[in-house]
Parts: sequence; structure tokens; C-alpha cells
Amino acid sequence: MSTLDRLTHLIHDKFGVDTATIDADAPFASYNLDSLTVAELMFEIDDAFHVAVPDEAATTVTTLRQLATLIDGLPEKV
Amino acid sequence: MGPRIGIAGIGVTCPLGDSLEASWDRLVAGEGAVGRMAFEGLPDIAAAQVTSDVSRVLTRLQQVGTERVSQMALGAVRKALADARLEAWPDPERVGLYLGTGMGGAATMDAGFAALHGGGRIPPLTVPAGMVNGASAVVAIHADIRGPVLTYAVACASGSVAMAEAAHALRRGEVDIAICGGVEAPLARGTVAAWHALRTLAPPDAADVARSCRPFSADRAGLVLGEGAAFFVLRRETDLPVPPRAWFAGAAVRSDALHLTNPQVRGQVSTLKAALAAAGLAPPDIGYCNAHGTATVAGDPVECEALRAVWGADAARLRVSSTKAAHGHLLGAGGALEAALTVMALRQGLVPATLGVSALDERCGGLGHVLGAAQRAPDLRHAISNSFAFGGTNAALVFSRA
Repeated sequence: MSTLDRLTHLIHDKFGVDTATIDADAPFASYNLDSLTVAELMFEIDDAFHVAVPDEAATTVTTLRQLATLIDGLPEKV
Repeated sequence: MGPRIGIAGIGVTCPLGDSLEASWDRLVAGEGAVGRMAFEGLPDIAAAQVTSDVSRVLTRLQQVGTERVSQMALGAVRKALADARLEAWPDPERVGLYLGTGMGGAATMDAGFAALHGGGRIPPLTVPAGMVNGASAVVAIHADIRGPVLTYAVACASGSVAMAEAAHALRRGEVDIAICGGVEAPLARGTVAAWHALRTLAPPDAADVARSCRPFSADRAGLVLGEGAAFFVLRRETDLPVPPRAWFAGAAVRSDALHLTNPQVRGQVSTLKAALAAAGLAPPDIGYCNAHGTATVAGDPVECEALRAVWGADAARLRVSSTKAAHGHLLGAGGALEAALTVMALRQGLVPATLGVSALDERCGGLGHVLGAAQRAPDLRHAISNSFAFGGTNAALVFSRA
């Protein structure tokens, strides 16, 4: 499963968001993820993907595709 | 005195049930909600839990940044609004929220610090979910309350103080609708451990865990923590579309200013007298007292002495019970839940009993204790509910039959 697909499923499982409403290139807010929810998502990603998303990602990353690209570029924690 | 304040609606989520009526029915049937709870590193405790899924008031997306305390508050507020037949209001800035909670999002802080001290990461929403006014914020957002949204942290008097303040705000004309009450969700490991360390908790009764909290009983062994929420919709008499559930006749708040935790007769007496004066009533007018009655060794005799001092020759005729034996000590929500049950007593002409008393402590005597079974009281017109908090703040609320 691609990182993007995994993120889509994570958002659905964690927040109950209908996957059909998630547009990977649209701002998080377009499917009702506000800044607090994005912060919570980043926190979950660290555990789910065994990575350390940098703090500034919460403000610099605005779409799911950007987030997937960022995660794919991060070293996996052992 | 200003305009009369009426109770337009009441909503309850408590260990006895998910509505005021269901909780009342169990209470007067003599049923208790105290059970056994286990926490790692602690002996089993007696506690009164809300057993329904309180998170269902919000979608999973809406639950982000909320926790049990805010979910229970919102659920009870929605029930109170439904009871008052209020779905929307023309001017949200004329609606206020007065919410009492002793510990706010204690479970969130507890879990966050446990993760941090255990070498892990503290979740990013620990502050908004755990802050003491978090529940107030969640209620305001989802009920569209845009007037004063205030949180009262006055330990075990929080809910009662919030209600007294709400009535004042209505009398002063600051708001037209005052939603008020209390909420508490203390049944998290660290919080329970802190209460246990204070040596105030009753151990689970070996023979019958439901009888672990025994207010006024010679063999009482301490308080039993509970959780839940109770909220009221208050309005001025002239704004009530239909007769109220009851009148909120008066209230008083006074401080002992003597000790952090030990209750004192002096402050309780002044509070009771001031509450009666605020209601324009004399001691013999009051037919029932829902006592603070936590079942601590130190607390119960002090409260009974204060009641005897104020009621004097009428003390033996004052029906007294502590419903905490059945629903536990809801801390910041306790005064609000007990106010709700006091209103039910007025409406039904029925006084709930203190459960679990084997033999009355003689230092608690001289009052009309209702023991064993609920007692018919068709003449009941006025009742008082006491909340005496750690920190020395005392509150008493007086209600009258509508």
C-alpha cells in the first residue's frame, strides 16, 4: 500500500472521515481537518510509520500528498 | 431579591443512569451504583462509574481535543436543553454557561504526564483537552453559547457555586438564559492515586461493594469517588414559557478561611443561614436537606453539628439524607447532581434515604435522618442542598416546589 493510501486509511480510522471526501491535493481543511486535528495526525504518524515528523511540518505541510512525500523522505526509526 | 429564577430544564449523566428520571428511580428504589475498580499499583478501590459510552455525543472528528469530562458535560447540557425545549436562541450572546469542575481534564493530564515520565511523548492536544475550562469551551462550541462562558474550580463546591453564580447573572440581567451545573471525570489512575494517598477513600466493602460509602454511619470509612455531569437551564420567571421544574429560591457561598481540608462548623453555619436568608425562608420552612455527607470520618459530624446549630429546635424535623452513598462523590459535579435530585424530591414529594447506614454515628444525631427506604413527604415545599469543599468554600442552594 502506498504511503498516501495508508494516510487516507489512518485519517478514516482515527477521525471517521469518509475516504471519498479526501482529496490528496486539497488543503486539509477541505475535508474538515483543522490545525488541532492535523497536529494529532502528525503525532499518530510518528507511531504508525516509525518516523519523526519534524515539528514545522504542522504548518508547512498543507495537503496529504505533501505529507506522503515528506514521510517517504524521512529515515525509518529503528 | 430581584426576579424569581426558575429551573426550565435539567440534564443528568451519572453513575445511577443516563437521565434524571432513571437515576431518581434507582435512587429511591434503594439501588446503589458503587462498584469495584482496579488501577495498576493501587489496591482495588470503590468507585461509581458512568457505564454508557459518553463519547457518542460527538463524531470522532469532533472528539479531537476533547476528553471524557467535556463529553459528559456536553451530553448533560444537551439533555437539559431538550428538557427545557430549547433548540436554538435568537441572541446567543444573551446565553451564558456557568460550569463547575474541580479537576477538569484530569485524565488527559494524567495520561500525558504518564507518557512523558515513562520516556514517551506527550500528545499534542494535552493542553486543550486537559485545561480546566476545556469542557466549558466544548459545550459553548457545540451549543452556540456566546455570552459569558465561565468555569468555576472550587473543588467539591464547584457545581453549586456555578449554579449560584448563574442565578446572580440572571438577576443582574447579564444573560437571559443561564446554563449551569457541574462535571467531573476523576477516575484515572494518577488522580485516583492522589485521592488514595490523602487517605480519604473508603475501601471496597468486602460483603457488599455497593455499600462502601456509608454517610453518617458509625462504621463509615471514607468517600467513594464518582463521575458524571448534571446541568440546569435557568431563566427569569418572566421569560419562562411554561411553569418551571422548580424554583431556584436562593443560594449562598461562604468560606471557612481556617484550613485546607478540615471542614468547620463556623463557615457551614454562616453559609446555611445566608442561603436561607437569600431565599427569604426560615429553618422550619425547609423540609429536606440533601447533605454534603461524604462519609469521611471528620466531615459528617461537622455538617450535622452545623445543621443542628441552624435548625435548633426544628432540627429533629429536618429530613436529611446523603445521596452520595448511591452515586458516589462527583466532586465538582456533586452539588449539581444533588441539586437535581433535590428538585426531584420536591416534585415527587419523596425524600431519598441515605443508603448503607448500619448504625447512626451519635455525633450525627438530632436530625431527621432518612434511612432505609425513601420517605413520603407530600408537604415538602422547600429543600436545601449543601456542598462543602476542600479549600474551605461552602455553598448551599435552596429550591422551592413550583
